[in-house]
Formats: sequence, structure tokens, C-alpha cells
Amino acid sequence: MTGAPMPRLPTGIAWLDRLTHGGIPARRLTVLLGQAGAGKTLLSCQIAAARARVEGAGTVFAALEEPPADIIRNAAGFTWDLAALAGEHFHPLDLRPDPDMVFAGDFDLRGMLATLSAKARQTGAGLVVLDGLDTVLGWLASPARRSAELARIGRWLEEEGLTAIVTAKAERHGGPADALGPLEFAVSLVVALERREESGGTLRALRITKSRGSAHSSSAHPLFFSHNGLEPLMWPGGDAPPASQERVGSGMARLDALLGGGYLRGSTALLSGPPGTGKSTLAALFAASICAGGGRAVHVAFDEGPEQSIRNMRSVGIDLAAHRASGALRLIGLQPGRDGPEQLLSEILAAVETQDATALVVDPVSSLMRGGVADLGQSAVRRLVEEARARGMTAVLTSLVEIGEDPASGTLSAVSTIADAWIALGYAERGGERNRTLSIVKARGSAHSNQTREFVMSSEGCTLADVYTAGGAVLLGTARMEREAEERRLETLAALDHQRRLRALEAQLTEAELRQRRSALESEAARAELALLEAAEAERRAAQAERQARTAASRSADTPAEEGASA
Amino acid sequence: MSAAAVALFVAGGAPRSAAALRNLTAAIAATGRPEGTFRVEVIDVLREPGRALEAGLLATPSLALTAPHGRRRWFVGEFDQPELLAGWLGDVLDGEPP
Repeated sequence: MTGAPMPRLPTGIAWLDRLTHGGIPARRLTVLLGQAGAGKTLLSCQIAAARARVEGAGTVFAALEEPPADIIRNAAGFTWDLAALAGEHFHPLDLRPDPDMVFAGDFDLRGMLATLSAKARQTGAGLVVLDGLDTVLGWLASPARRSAELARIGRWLEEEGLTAIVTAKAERHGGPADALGPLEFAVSLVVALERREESGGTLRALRITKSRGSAHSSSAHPLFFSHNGLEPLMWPGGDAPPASQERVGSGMARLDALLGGGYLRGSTALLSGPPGTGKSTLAALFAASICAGGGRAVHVAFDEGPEQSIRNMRSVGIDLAAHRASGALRLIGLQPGRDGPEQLLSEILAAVETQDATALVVDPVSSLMRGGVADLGQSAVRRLVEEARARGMTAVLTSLVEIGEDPASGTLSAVSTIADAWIALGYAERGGERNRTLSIVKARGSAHSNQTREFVMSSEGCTLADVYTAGGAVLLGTARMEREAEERRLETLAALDHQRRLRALEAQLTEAELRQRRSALESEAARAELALLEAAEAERRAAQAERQARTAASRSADTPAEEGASA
Repeated sequence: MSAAAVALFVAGGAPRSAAALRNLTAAIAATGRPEGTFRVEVIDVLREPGRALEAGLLATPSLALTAPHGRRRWFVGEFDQPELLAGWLGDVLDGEPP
């Protein structure tokens, strides 16, 4: 019977529903297998609690092995309160067999199914958990009889419209206990919980070993215990929501400019560098900036307590205490090494959840990876990055690099591949001084500058300083300041030169204008003189003509005087 | 002396149920106790699942024997050896460990 997908009953646990393609098969039998202490009972309680919370749905919990009171007590300490759900959505039923019970001859489980039917009807529950069914099935004489009773449970579920989870001990590695008989026929989904003790801690994993009617991968999904119960270290499927294009300020305007506006919301930035290069400061700047902007941050400091962090940051002008007092900032000091990575991760995630954080700082994340099994540490960081992405929470993780350490090796390389942005802090020694440097190694989704900047920290605050290159080398510290002074001197000289040239040109212009005015006056005078000369000449000619006429009259000349003939 | 309560839980008229009742009757006779020592009640859990829930029933057929002033004891199976069941009934009634 393939084709139409099998209807699913959501477990209410997001990661488990994703792993099982929507939940456990509805009106079918699911088997949870695992060795003692693997968390079978706890996971079924977690499902009952999640269904109660998400769906408001009830679960009948048939306790065939442990007394219900013990089961409820073992689940205490998680965020879901099983004791409070008892009688409301969680209906425990003590079905532990009487130790004095005598067996004689064949029997079947219709008696138990009648009990469960009655309880389910009474409570309206849609899910029945049979915790430790293998003990009861073990009384049956042959594997064939066990299979037949499992098949009976299968038919009963369909008739009653109920869904069931059976927990059973696995005897071989991941394999079903013999008491359960062959599971292939009666069971639709088999989930194996594994637990392995390693030198560095406990490795837990979940594996889907059988899923009828749907494709499944049988790969192991590492689990850890958080305050929510069992949780995967790596989010199954891994398809994180699309990356936000929104920017979140880093706390330093110059760095924001370098990053193309800040960190991407929901991304994770790694700040790496040797001791004293300003990793913690840059991380605290970010946390403070988030809080100042109305966000909520969790700041995890390893190796030092919150008071120490507050004192250290006050010296560079960052007031963490005020943000803590307003409730926007939660400062946590954690001890690395004492607890394994999964325990530390669980504490950080709990803080993020209760704080409803929009930003997270872990300083340094290398401490989270210390101790424990190597893979666990890396998985823990991966889980943090995924959590940040899923929540749209921006995370800044610092990582210590010892001087002389190969940056391509170890924890740094592992984290840097996971992180979305990587900012390398360091020292540059030149001319007898050490200056802090900052460069962006990578920044996903940003056109970023790859030039090194100087990271300047003082009691007035922190900023990045411009860099000058001389002969291919970036100038820092005193060399940078000398270069800046030289630039200023040259600038002044250029300004002076300009002024001088301006004045000279103005003088030239004035001079030319004066010359022009003088020549105009001169030409006017010449014109006037010319006019006077012409008038005097005309007068002289007129006087001469009159004289000649008078002379001719006095000599009674019979011929008119000829002009110029006798002059 | 008041009677000991014998509750026989069966699931419908399955052949196993009929065999269980037959074997129980034979076993009571085999105890040699006076009539009225046992008060037998047959409960069909398919008709009365509420009674199964009350008893916390696990298997069918099952027999719950409650002696006067004693706690409930369980005997599970179709009792294909009535003499074994008779011995058990007598032991429980006498308050001896079965």
C-alpha cells in the first residue's frame, strides 16, 4: 500500500516532527527503542507535554514498568511541568504487573486494550503510550504469539481511532529486543535512541530505523538534554529561513561602514585574535549597542564573572551595568571544562529563551568547545549558529588565537567556516610600538573592505582609524599620526599658495584697469588738442584771405588776385 | 465466613474465554471447599471496559481472587491445568504464599 502519504499525528516537538515528516503515523503503532537510560520514557513524556501545549491534546500513559510517580519525578526540572499536566492532558495509568501474578496457559492483551479504551474514552486522549510493553510481551511463549499481539494492537488502534507509542528496550546496538518479536509487519515507525559513554561525556543520538510509506535517512542525529528535554544538536534538514538583509549595528559606526551597514540580522560573526586585541571589547560594544537600541541581549563570559566583565568594559567607556539594570542585558559567567559542551549549550539556550534575546555574545566560544568529545563542541557551536539563524538573533562569538598558532587549525577553523562573518583582530609591531588592527576576513552578503584598519581603544570610546599605506605597508600608531601631521602641513601650504596666487592676479587685474583708464584719458586729450589745432588753422586761413582782398583793393588791381601767385 | 470474590475477566466469547470458565469451574470443584466459598463473577471486558480500567487489567483471560481481608491476587492464562489453579485458589484462601 504505497501512494497516498500516511496521515501523521504531530508530536508537537518541532524537530521530531521535521525528522518524521510531520509526526508519527496516525492510528498506527510507533516503537521507541533504546537501551536503559537512552531517554525512551522521557521522550514519550516530552511528546505528551508538547502535544498538550501545542495541540491541547491528551495522552494516556500506560506505565508497565516504572511507577507513574517516578516517571513524573524524572521529568521534573524541564520547562514542561508534567505534574501540572497530570489529570489534565497527561493521564498516567499504573499497569505494572503484580509481582505475584501467576501465569498458566496462553493469554492475549485484549484485557489491556479494554483498559486503555476505557481510559481513552474517559479522557478524550488521542495518543496512548505503552511504556515498557516488552516486559508484558515477554510473558508470551513464542515470537509468533508476540507478533500476533502487536498486530492485535495495530488493529485495535484503527478500530478505536487511536495512535500509540510503544517503548521497548533494545538489547543489541539499536536492534529491537527479542521480546518485541519481528517489528517489520505490525509497526509503522521505529525510532531508535542511542546512548554511548565516551571519555569526554555522553553521546546521544536518534535514528529512524524504519518508516513505512515514506523515504527516510537512517543517519544518526546527535541529541543533547536541554531544559526542554531531548533536543538535536543539529537542526534536522538544516534549511534555515532566508537570510535577512536587515543590518544590525556593531556598536562602532566605522565598522558598520566597513561591513556595508553592520552585521546581518540573524547572522553569526566570529571575532578572532590573540589575547588583548580587543575581542571582548568589540563584543561588549555590540551587546551594549543592541541594548541601547531597544534590543535584548545575552552576554556569556567564560572564565570571568559578570562583575569582572562590567569593570573591564567600564575602562573603555562601555556601561554594561546600566543595561543589566534595565533588564535588556543578561550577563552570565560560565565555567568551561566543569561541564561538557552539551551542558553549557543547554544553559546558553535556556538564557536566550528566557531573555527572549535578539543578540547573543559568547566570549570566547572556544571555551564552549573545550572538554568533551571533539565533535560535540563543534556541534554545540553549530547548534548556536542555527539557533541564532532560526530566531533572527544576531550572534557575536569570540575566539582566542594564541600567538604563533596556525589559524587554519583547531577550533578557529571549525567556527570560522560556520560563522557568516569573520573579523580578525591582531597586533602590528612597527617602530617599537604595538598597535591593534582589525580586518574583515569574510562577510557573507556584504561588499566589505579587506584593508586593515587600526582599532583604537581609549576611555572615551573605541573607533577605527584611517590607514595610510607607505611602500605597501599599512601605517599605524605613531607612524600613522606622523603621516596625518604631514598631510595637514601640506594642506596648509597648498592653501597659502593659493591665497598668494589669488592676490597676485587681483593686483595684475587692477593694474590693467588703471592702464586702460589712463590711455582713455590720454586719447581724449589728444582728440581735444587736434580739434583746437584745426580751429586755429581755419582762422589763420580766413585772416590771410581777407588780407589779400584788402591789398588788391588798395592797388586797384584789374585782375583778381590769384591765390598764392604773389604771396 | 464471607465468600472469596473470584472475578474472571474474559474478552468476548472467544474460545479461550469458554475454556477459562470451564477450567475455573473444574478447579473450584477440585479445591473440595464447601459450596459458597467462592463467589464467581464473569466480566466480559469488551462489554464492560470500565471494569477492566477499574482493575487495571492487563491480560485476558485473567482471574482476580480477593479473599476476605486479603489483597487481590492475579492468575493469568486459560488455566489449562485445573489442578494447578485449584492449588493456587486453596493457597491464596489459606493466606499462604502461592
